[in-house]
Amino acid sequence: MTLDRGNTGTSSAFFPREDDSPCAQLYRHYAPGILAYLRRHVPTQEDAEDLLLDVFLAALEYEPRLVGLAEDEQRAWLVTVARNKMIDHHRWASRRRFFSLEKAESTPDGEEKMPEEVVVHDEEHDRLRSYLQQLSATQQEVLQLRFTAGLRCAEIARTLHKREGAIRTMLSRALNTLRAFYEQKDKGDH
Amino acid sequence: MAEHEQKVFLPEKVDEQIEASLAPSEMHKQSLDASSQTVQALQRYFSPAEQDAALQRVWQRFAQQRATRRTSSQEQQRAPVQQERRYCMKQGANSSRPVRGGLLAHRLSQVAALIFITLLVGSMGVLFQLASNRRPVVSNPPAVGRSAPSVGPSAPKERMMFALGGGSTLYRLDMKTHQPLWHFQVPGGSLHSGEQVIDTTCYIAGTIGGNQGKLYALDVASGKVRWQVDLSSPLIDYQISLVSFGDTLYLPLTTNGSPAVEALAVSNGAKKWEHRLEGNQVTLIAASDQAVYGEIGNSGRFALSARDGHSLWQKEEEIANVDGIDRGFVVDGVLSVVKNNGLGIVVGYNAANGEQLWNHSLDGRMSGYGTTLLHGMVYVSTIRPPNQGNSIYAFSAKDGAQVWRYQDTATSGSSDPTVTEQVVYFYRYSNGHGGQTLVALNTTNGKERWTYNFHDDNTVEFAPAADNDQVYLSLPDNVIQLLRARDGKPLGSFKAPGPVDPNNRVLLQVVG
Repeated sequence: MTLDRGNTGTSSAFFPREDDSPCAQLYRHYAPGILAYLRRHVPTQEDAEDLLLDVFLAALEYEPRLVGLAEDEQRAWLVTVARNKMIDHHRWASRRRFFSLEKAESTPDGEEKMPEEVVVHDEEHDRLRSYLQQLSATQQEVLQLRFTAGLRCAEIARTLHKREGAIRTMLSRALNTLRAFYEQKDKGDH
Repeated sequence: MAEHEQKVFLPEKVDEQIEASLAPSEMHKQSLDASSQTVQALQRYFSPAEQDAALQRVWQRFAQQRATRRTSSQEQQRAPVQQERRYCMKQGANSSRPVRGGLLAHRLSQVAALIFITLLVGSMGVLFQLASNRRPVVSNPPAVGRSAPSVGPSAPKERMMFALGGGSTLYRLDMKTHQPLWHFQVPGGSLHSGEQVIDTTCYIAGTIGGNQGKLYALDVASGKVRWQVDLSSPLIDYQISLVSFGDTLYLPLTTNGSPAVEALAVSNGAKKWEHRLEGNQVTLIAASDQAVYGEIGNSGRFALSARDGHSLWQKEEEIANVDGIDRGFVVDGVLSVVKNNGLGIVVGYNAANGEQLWNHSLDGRMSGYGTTLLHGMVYVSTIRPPNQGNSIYAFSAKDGAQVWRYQDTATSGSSDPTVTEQVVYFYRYSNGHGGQTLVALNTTNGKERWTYNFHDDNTVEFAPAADNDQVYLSLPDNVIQLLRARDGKPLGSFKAPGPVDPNNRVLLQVVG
């Protein structure tokens, strides 16, 4: 599955297909990305699903307002609510806010891969994981919000209540550091 | 785009660079450069797995709850499933299914749900917003009046220290003992903004139930609520941008989808007038005894009469591609505003008619929202792409003349500046190694006075709080480190009140 800016994690074929309500449209567009984001931050699939339900029950409550918001604002609203619910979940559970990335390796309902894909996948994941583990929780979350939830820097800043400039710097710095790995790899290949 | 720029990710273009690397044409390329490989690898790493079955389950539960709510005449009795489950967990049960228990359990679950909901949305709303609203010790804090000291409201006579802990409680601390003098929590809700102190009033926004916002005016001496008003805009999108002059506080609002400016009496919160505008969201940038000034989206500026809100003038934006506006100040009839149009730019307008008088381009993009006015001088910081350091500027607010510029080429950026009478402080980021450095510059000439190194790259995220004697650094675990302003010598530390969150800092402000 690929993500794009206007389509945060839309799944290829799922419900609610025949429901044109605003919440259904929001669910179609944003629920996959938000579920993936939640899944990285809570220990069980069941918790993630419960939180996703809470997010869209909140959306139901604020449906009239959400309808009037632009697409970017809708996405930011939903992700912020999801994040707040996730934080509150951890408060209730007296756990740390962030789980190790090893937890995130588990992808329930994940699609099966061919053996050669698995090798490449694992190698790449190992490299990324070793790099990402060096990042602070905040930096990790910035990357997650960008690549899982599809938020832009301004939306991430709003969600995390940080300055947009700080997010831009943090994100570009992380990408440039990781980019060096690939640059070295390319040189090694040649 | 220069070849070098293509190779690295630039803070000001990182969104577009990521999107370009994910464009369909790029995704199908056989040979990718390192930047595209990086983005696509991260995309694969973070992209959600197919979870149709899970999404189906949640949607079915949602549809069931929605139908129940719609058919019930007592909507508020329908608590979210998860609240019921959490209540059940507290009672020691392990089931993750909805509880369909007895009346008592059901009512208790409703109470739990109500508490939960009030804690939920906006509960983290105070973090960097405070940093962006936080203003240093100056004779006329810019967040207060954003006007010239000679015409602005009188500054507080007493130095005050505020700390925001755990996203939920505002404390006023004793300057000497650092013990709480009072604390404030939003009744049944959570804080959403940093505080702004205007004379003897401390303003802070909170949320109650979902996103319903309220603005609270607190007595700085006692912490008691003097008055409160509902904010019509959803707070999640509400950028606290209060400007005030004299006995009037101005609020940017969205009323029935239209932007508006509301003038309130500082003494009791009574509405003096409201003026609706056409266009997008309003940003208020300054106020004087004559007018309140603002921008509509990034498309134009306006001035409204301070007396009754009638339009004094409205001008189209002359600068192309404005993508950010920080703040403005009125000094000697000149409205100076700091904006971004790719790079930063300081523009001076005639406050009487809105005509542009001068502009001054900066060498990088504004680093944030720390632009400060002190004694007729505007202090602004920039970040130069790509990772080529930062600059701090001091301009005359009247004519835009540059008084000094401090350039740092050995850093990937900087924090907002904190400006005091003698010292301008900022954090120098370290390009990923060697920690961070607090840099103290001489306010009058921009010369470096001293530096203080941190060894943790991620320890300090906010600009420091400071007065003329001490600098206060917010460190993990609610620790506030004190440094002597004169030379940066460590003077000890204290622990701020409030819950400790490993990812948050205590947000400290010193005013007066």
